[in-house]
Amino acid sequence: MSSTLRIVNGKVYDPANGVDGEVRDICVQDGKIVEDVPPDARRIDASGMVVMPGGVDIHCHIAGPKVNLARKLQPEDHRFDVHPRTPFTRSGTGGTVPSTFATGYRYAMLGYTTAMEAAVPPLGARHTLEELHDTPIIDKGFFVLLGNNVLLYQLLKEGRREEFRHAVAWWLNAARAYTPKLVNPGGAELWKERNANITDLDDEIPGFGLTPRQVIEALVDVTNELGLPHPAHIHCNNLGIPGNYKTTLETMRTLEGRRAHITHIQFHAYGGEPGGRMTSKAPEIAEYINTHPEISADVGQVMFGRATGMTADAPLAWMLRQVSGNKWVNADVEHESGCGIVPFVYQERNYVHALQWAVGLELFLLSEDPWRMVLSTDHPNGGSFLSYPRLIRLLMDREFRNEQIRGQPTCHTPDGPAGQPGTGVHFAGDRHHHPCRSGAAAGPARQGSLGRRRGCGHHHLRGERRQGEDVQHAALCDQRRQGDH
Amino acid sequence: MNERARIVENATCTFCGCVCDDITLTVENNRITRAENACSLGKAWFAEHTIEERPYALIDGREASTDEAVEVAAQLLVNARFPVIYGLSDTTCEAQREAVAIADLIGANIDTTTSVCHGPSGIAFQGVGESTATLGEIKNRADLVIYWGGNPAESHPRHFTRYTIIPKGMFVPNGRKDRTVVLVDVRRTPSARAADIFIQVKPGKDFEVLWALRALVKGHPVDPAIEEETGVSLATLQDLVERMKSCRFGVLFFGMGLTMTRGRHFNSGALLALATDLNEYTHFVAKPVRGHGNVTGADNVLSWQTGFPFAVNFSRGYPRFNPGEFTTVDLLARGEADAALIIAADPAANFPRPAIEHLRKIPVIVLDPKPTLTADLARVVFTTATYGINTGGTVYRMDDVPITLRPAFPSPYPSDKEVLRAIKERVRSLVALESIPQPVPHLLNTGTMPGAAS
Ligand code: SF4
Ligand SMILES: [Zn+2]
Repeated sequence: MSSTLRIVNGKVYDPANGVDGEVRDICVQDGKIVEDVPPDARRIDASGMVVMPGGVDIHCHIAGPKVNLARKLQPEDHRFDVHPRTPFTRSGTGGTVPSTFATGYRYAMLGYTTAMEAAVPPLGARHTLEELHDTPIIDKGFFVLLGNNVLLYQLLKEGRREEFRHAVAWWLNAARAYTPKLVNPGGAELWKERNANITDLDDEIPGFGLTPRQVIEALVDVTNELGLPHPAHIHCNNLGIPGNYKTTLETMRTLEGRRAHITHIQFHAYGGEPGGRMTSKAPEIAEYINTHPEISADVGQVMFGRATGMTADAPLAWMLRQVSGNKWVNADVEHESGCGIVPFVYQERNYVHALQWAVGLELFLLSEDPWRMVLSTDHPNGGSFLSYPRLIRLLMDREFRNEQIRGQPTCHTPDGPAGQPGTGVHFAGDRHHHPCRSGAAAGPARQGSLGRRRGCGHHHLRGERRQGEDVQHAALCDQRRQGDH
Repeated sequence: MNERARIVENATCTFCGCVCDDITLTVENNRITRAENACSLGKAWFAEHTIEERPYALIDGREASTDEAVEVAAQLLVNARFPVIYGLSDTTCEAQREAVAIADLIGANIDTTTSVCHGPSGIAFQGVGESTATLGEIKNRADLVIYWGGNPAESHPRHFTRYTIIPKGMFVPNGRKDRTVVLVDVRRTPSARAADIFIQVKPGKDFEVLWALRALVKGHPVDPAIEEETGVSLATLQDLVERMKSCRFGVLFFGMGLTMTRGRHFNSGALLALATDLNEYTHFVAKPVRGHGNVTGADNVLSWQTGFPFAVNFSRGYPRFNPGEFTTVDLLARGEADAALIIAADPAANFPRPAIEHLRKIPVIVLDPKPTLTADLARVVFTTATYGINTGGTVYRMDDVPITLRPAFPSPYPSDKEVLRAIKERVRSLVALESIPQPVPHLLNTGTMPGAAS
């Protein structure tokens, strides 16, 4: 028996097929969109609504060992946001790290139909799959952490490239993963050895005579050789450190001509000196990506409010712990990864947080190709996926955005106190966004077919002022103070 | 029928939280005749397991089919006003998921044996976090291994030999020789033989010792009178602090000697905070030594389905967490529950008397492969297959690593999962008959996240 459906009167946005806001019917037969269906098909009246492809969250943290540790860690995160049972759905709890059932329902209610868990050590793959089993409605998958794998390092060190390739393929298959994920390559080894971290692409990874650069190149090459549908996700070295945009640019240059995805790039687009003042280098990063079609990225937007830092980048989590003084989880995974968790609150009045917020928006707005600059908050690192409607509004509604910007603090002088009312954060880019172009649906659809740009090429970039140097600030010392007590 | 000896490689022992998955079993005539690599406890666990001639189920003491018992159990649960589901630490994650689903359907209280072992460690974890590691990391790197309030030599015999003290590791190539081992406890147990240093603490004084160590780590002065108070001299503490700060990779394991004595979650919290503090100086981790084969899985399943690891109550239609209120021992002792579903646990053997007295007064449903004291007082008893030996599935080792079960031979009895699923299906239809609930769309809103809407 075939099931048929006609969705009528909706305003249709379908970037993959070049449909841009037409009011027309959508016909569905047996779960597939078709040209036409018989007149007796079930009808849904979508007058006044947008009809668009389901959103794809290309990079989020929703299932597996670290996510579950973060759930266990925060009863206070759940109790104010319960998700009651209905006759058709299971109960659960929300907050920044919702239970599995609540995660599936809430994504679906946002219009998202796919979410990809972005950081699973092979040892935790079975756990992740069990949680994904209990995540209803949406399609889902995960990326497997291979960038700190000691056994892969040994093969690389010994020059056994062919076996290295087989090992990567084996791990992907055994774990049932979608693509490799690299997190701060080399960082886990330094962390486990002496609570230190990688600071440069050419630092030596102790015990292996390898550098992060070599690891990144080898894993990206193998991913591309294996012909995976999606490129390797790279969480670059030096996340959150002022001046890290150099590492990010250098990583992308190293991979010149090779397909790769740089994830939560907002956290990797800062100027300044380590330990010193942070500035925006979003224009430099956006410019590089605009001119290099082999690279895609997701933003990792920061949204004000509660977040949970959860990452395979253990030294980063330790830094967040020291900055915030909040409770901290560290969980070393033998041979494969580190892991750190810190509950965190992004505050509008904190200059670093405001800057991070602005850098993310800049990256979106400066991107000439929304197919390759995908919407994400790196849920729940920059904020919950539930903040996506607000983020999409920030991108599409200039008035709303300007209102928000007027509320942000700036400093008049590099050394002035943080939080002073000032001239406001200036954006290097500004334009209208369509929902399909906000990166929720458009980007992921194209990650496997680079270079097929169409439909979205007519944006005009209104270069206001480059944010760069003129938003230097003194908020880092403000953060330090928090950590001191 | 005479079956030839069959070998099962990489079988998993679920007798304790070590969940050793390197056992080679020899199976003859539905009996395990050899369990290579298993410790004495594990060998006994495998050797003693035979299929006994037992009824599939009992209803009020009379033999019944599984189906009949499912019907009675479902009726009892649906008609209860305050049903409680308890146990779950000696069954598979697949069964645990069904149990939580039943609790959700009927608005039950659900709790696991965590609440009577490392519940306080769970509470401490929520308070201060935890620096931890998988056991393989400890095997490969730890050069200082401290056990506090536990006797693994007798409770987890292969903990020393497989994971922590004896094995050679990637960064401790000489194994035992590269490690310093410390045991802290209120009495000298057989585990002390494995330690280089044994520190004896006066009973009930663990918190004081841990707090003094935290002070010393941070460079604060500690009064030598600590010795009189705790039985441990300042010099001993200073020596331990020196070792902790100068090791390369240290680990603090802790047991129920810490969590079930005076101080409880304060003790676990102090220990976890100490391990965290030490990361200012070197790499340091901590880990509770969990007892039952899949108690860690129970924590995980409850956490991912509800957000909370144990002591969860669904009576308001959503999960609430409150140890003390929703922990089974406490609510039974207060006489609150009016029906109980006990899965793979024997509260009648180890709960305090007031709790057992209450269990006698209410209808109890038991799932267990073996006869138990709780089954003796139950209205409905299911005989189920033994996990790991007769059924497959997943269990979580004490370090949260999921391990696959490779059963040795089939059982005529259904698995916990099968029985629970049947109860769930029957409960679902009864709940639907009883009341057609009104859809409540506003309950489906996406919550009120700060930052999501304002
Ligand atoms: S240590 Fe525990 S899991 Fe391992 S064989 Fe002995 S009883 Fe079984
Ligand atoms: Zn991420």
